[in-house]
Amino acid sequence: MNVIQTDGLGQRYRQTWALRDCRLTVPAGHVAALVGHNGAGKTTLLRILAGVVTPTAGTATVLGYTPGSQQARDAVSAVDQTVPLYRHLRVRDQVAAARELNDQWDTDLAVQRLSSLNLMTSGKVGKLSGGQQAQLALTLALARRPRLLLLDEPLASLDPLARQEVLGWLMTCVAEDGLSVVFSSHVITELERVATYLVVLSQGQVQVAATVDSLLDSHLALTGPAADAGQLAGQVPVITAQRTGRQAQVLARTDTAPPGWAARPVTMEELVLGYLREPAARVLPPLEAAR
Amino acid sequence: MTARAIKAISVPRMARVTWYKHRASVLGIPGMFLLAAALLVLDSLLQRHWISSHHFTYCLAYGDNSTSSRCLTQDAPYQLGVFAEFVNYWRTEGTVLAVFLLAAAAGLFAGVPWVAREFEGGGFRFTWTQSVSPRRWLLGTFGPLTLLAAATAVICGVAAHWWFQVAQFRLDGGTTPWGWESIEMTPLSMVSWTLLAMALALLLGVTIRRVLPAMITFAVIFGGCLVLARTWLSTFLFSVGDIPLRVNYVNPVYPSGSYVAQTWFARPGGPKLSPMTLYAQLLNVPQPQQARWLAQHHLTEWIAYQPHSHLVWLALARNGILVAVAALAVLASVWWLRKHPAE
Repeated sequence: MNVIQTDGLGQRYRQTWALRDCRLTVPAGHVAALVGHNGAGKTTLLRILAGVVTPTAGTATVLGYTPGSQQARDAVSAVDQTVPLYRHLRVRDQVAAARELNDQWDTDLAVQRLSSLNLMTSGKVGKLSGGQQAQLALTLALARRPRLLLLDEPLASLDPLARQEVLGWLMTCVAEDGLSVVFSSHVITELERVATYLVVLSQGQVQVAATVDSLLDSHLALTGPAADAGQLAGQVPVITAQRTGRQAQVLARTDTAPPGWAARPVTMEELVLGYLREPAARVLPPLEAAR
Repeated sequence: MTARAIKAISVPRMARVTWYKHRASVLGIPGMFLLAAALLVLDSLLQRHWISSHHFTYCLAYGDNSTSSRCLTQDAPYQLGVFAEFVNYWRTEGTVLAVFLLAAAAGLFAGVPWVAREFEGGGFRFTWTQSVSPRRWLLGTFGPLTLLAAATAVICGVAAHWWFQVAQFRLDGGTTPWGWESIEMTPLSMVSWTLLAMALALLLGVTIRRVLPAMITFAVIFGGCLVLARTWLSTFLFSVGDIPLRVNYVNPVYPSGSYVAQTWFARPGGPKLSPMTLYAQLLNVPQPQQARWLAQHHLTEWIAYQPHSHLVWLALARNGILVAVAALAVLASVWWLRKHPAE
C-alpha cells in the first residue's frame, strides 16, 4: 500500500508554479527523505499532503484518503517548518488544546515525553527555545498516534545531541507503531541515518523516488581518466561528471564498473548531490507500479 | 488498515479550545457588557432617586412617548430650573453613543484579532493539522465566543432600556420612540449589532488575514453600517406601509405616537407637490388667510404616517436585516475559507 500517491499535482502562487505535474508514490512503512533545492516545492508538497493547502491541479491521496478529509486528518500528523504553535499559550494549555482537537490522543505519551524534557511547565510556549518548541511540536504530533507523519525540516533548530535523541525516538515509534514518515531536510547526513526511501524534488517536479537501498545498489561512483569521460556516457547512464585535472569523478547509474574505471559504492550524500546538480536526470518508478 | 469511526470534534470541546486560547476575549467581552450594564443600572438608580426627591416622578408616567417640555408644562419656573440642572448634570448623548459602540468594540478589539492573528501568526497550521476541519475550527471556536457576546449584550440591552426610560428626558427636547436612541437602547438592537459586529469581524479576519489592516477595514465598514442604518435604512423602513392622511394645514392633528414619514400638498387628482415650494409661498401669506389661500388654489396638505402599532414590527424588521447581514457574512467567511484555505 502507498501512504502517499500524487498524480499531476500542481500548486501555483500567482504566476509561479511551486509544484508542477508532480507524480509521486511512497510505499507504507518507510522513512522517506524529501530533499531538494530551496524553492524546489518541498514545503508546498508537504502542506498539500497535510491538507493545509488545496492544490491548484492534479490529485493527491494520503493513506488512500484525500488530504484534508476527516479520515486523513485523523491519520496524518504534520509539523511545519514554521513550528506552528500558539506562542501566547502556556505549555499546559497548548497540550490541553491539542488534546481537545483530537479524537485519538495519547496523554501518557505526551506527558511522559514532555516531562522527560522538562517542558511540562506553566511557562509560555513563546518563552521556550526554538529547539524546545520543535520538541513540543513533535511530541504533540506523535501523541495523536498518526499512521503518517509529515515533518518539514523539524530538526533545524535542535542542537546535535537533541537531533540524535529525536531521531532515535522517531525510529522507535516507526519500529513499534509501524509509522510511516516523510522527512524534509537539508542536512543529508541526518537523513542518511534514518531514511529508507528517497524523494528528490527539483524545480517543482519529482526527480527521484525510490528506496535508498535500490538507489545505492544501482549507482556507483566511478573514477577514471578525464579523457574517457565522454565515451563513458555511451556505456552507462551518467548522472554527473566532475573533472579534476586528468581524473574524472562520475556518478553513474550502473551496478558494474566499465573497463578502465575504478568503482566504489556511493553514499547517500553523493547520490543526492549528484541528482541535485543534474535536474534533468530522473529515477522514477514505472507508472503502472505507481498506480 | 484499522477502520475507526469518523467522529467530528464536539462543540463543547471546541469551546474549551476557545477558552484555552482566548481567555482574555472570553472574559473581556462579557466583562465589558456586564460592566456597562452595572454602570447603567447604577446611573439609572441615581437618576430615579433624584427624580423622586424632586417630585418629578409623574414625568415618568408619560412613558416613552413623552418629552421633557411636555412633562414640565404644568410646573413652576422653579421646577424648570431644577430640570435644566438635571439635563446639564448627566451627559445622555455621550452615554447612549458609548453603549451603542460596545458591539463595535467587541468586534474590533476581540473578534478581528481573534481570527486574523491565527493567519498572521501561522497558528492555523497547527489547528488545521489536528482532527478538525478549518470550517469546524472557525465556527466551533468563534461561535461560542459570539454567543457569549450576544448573551451578555442582551443583559446590557435590558439595562440600557431601563436606563433610557429615565435618561431620555435629559436629551435636548426629549425624544420619541421613533428616535434612533430609543430604537437602539433595547436588548434586541444590542444583540443584533453585536452579532453583526462579530460576523463582520469573522469575515474580515478570514479575508484580510492581517490584524491591523483588518481592524482598520472593520472600523470603516462597521461605521458605514451604523450610518446606513441610521439614515437610509430607517428612512426606507419608515416609508414601508405608511398610511396617507389628509390634515389641516393651519391646525394639524397627527395620530398620537405616530411617525410622520412624508408631507406633501396635492390638488384633486393631481400629483404630489413638494411642501418646500409651497411653504415658501405661504410665508408671504398672512397666517389668518393661509387656509383660504390654500382653498383658492385647491390645495390640501397630506401626510404619510406610521402608527405607533407599527413600531415594534419596524424595529423587528430593522434588527432582522442586521441579523440577516450577519448570517450572510458568516456564510461568506466559510465560502472564502473553502476557496482560499491558506498559502
